[in-house]
Amino acid sequence: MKIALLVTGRTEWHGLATALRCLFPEHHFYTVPTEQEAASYPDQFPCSGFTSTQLTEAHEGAPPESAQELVERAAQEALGDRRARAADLVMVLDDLELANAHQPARVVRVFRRAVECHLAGQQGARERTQQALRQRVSFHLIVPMIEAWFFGDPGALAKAGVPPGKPSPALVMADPEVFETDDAAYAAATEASCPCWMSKGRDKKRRPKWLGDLPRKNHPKAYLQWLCIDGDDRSCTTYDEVDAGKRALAELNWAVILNEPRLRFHYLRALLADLSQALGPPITGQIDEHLSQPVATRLARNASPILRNI
Amino acid sequence: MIMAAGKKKSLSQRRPAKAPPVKETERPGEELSDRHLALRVWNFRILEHLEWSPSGVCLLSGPNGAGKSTTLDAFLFLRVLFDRGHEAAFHAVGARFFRRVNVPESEPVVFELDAGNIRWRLRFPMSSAGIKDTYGEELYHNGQLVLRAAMFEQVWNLGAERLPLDDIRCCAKVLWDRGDAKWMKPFADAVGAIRVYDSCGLNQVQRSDPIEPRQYYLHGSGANLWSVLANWKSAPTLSKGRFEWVMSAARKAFPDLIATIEFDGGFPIIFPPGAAGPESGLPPERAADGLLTGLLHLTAIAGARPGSIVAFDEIENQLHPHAIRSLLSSMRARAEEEHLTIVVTTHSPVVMNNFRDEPEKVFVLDRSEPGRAIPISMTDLHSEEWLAQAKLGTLYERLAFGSPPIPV
Repeated sequence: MKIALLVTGRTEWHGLATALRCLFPEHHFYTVPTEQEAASYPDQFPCSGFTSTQLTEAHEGAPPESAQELVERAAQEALGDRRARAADLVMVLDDLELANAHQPARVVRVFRRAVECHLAGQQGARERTQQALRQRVSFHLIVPMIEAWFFGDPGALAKAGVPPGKPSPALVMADPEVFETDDAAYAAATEASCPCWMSKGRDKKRRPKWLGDLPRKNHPKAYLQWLCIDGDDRSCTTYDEVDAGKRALAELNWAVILNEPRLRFHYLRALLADLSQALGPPITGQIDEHLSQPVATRLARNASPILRNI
Repeated sequence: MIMAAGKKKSLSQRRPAKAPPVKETERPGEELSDRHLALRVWNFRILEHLEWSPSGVCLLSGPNGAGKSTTLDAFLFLRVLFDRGHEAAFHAVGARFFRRVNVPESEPVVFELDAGNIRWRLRFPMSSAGIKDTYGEELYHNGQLVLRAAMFEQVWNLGAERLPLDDIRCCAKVLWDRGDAKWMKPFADAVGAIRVYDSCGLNQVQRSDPIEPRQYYLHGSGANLWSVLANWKSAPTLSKGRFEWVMSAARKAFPDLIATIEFDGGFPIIFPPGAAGPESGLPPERAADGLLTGLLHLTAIAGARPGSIVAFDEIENQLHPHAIRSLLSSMRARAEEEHLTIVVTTHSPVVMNNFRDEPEKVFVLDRSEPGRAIPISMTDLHSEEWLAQAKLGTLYERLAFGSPPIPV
């Protein structure tokens, strides 16, 4: 089968197809947007998520444009075109982000509303689009962001650039999707910990995430950047999405991630269960759908699904 | 520098031909359908093989260097060639590097233009510096060859007649000027009605030059904008309300910038809405570039004869999205009333979104299939269902069509 992965970050764009191919090797995974489109945006990722700011009740009536764009792209992949066969499955993946960590159900409702708005705007193509979305498209959350997955696999952290000899990251909960670190050194770190930040005039564009206005203890990427602090003043961190992030994700040890019972990974399991339903079981790991998160699992679908899992 | 090798006599020795009076036909219906043009081009600059028959309001898109401007130049070249001869035509579009690069010199640049049941074919032997010798020309009526001039020869055949080449005029024009080939009228009218407007430099428009009489149609340069508007305004009945049409459309597109234009001693003054008195008016050099651009577009359309092709290169330049949408709306309405074909080229997502309900009117200079004639209709490139999922401008930004080959 042909599976489109519609992602909103460079790490996922570079590494997720390879990672999933390791679990389902007989199937073809590809990422959206295209390589050409991604290359045409040197400074940004062309496909934005809709969860970087806190969603409100108003968004359930009027979804953000970025959510609607995701639906547009998903519909196109699911319908196919003159020169491209329709994808058998389209997985739309967005980070839950810390801004919306307390309200995953709302995020799903907003996306559902985006789908409804999209269908309402279709005229002649409405029925076919509706059918394609319902049969082929799923929406899943990466919680709270892709770097959380690396904390379930020590090998992934090494590939992401955490120096050998660094103490194991200290997580409060075993489940990286409920991310919290009690690393005292991290909690106490100040801008003086980053020679590059200090020497480059505190350029906001270079500011590492752990120095930003966010609860750093809950931010996997921020913690990873801190674990990978560069020793000199070239950059604030050796972790980058394109190389280190890609490597860590593409070479994720699924056996560790999926077979360690303490690593719940509810949302990740919901994604894999959704894939397994169509593709058959993965070659490694146990996908117990009952462990997956209700808001994103196919088990929770109501009588009138608008997508495969919503 | 255009090589004058195409004809024997020097410029100073030529007697200018007496052109027949311009006839304006405004009868709609069958005659206008006869004016519908189909263009085919081979080896003209970047265009290996173009085949296009635009109708209604059409958009031509493609990456930088794809040949959008060159396509409009092909139309312009043929019109000027028919009206004023090949030297004027080469001067209008440039004779250097006329032939497609890497095509052998032995292969001519070929143009074919169909209007109804008439076909006009031209073949130009070109070097990189210009035309090498006399060009070839054929005219067909109902599939029958009417006249023929071979490349490199100094005579042409009109039926049984063998005639020397005219110094300036193409053979088709010579035949038309004789006055006894009435069947050529739809063709002559169609070719003569082609108008191409590129992103006009506004310098000439910003100058307040004295109004010239008897200027009724906008030149390709736009330089006579004020003369045309003044002449229309002074003769509203004779000009069929063209000035008021332009003003009405301009007010919609630029609601805070223009109410009317008055001419003081032959010089234009632009008055905004609510102007309290003469001191509120502005001369062109103080007017917004976008307003001047909009006036040029509207005047070009208003002056187009029924059945004309009017082309605008990069129509969006200097224009706010509201102005773009408003001007396009006015142009569409006018095109429908006057049976105009309007061709716009653009890189603007705003312009492209304006064609969302008519993807079949969007054409793409797409080279992904070698050997295939371009442009290709959007609905041949993508299914309508697929296109319906997003705005055309959004798809253009996502490189879904008309994109350069980006290395990855």
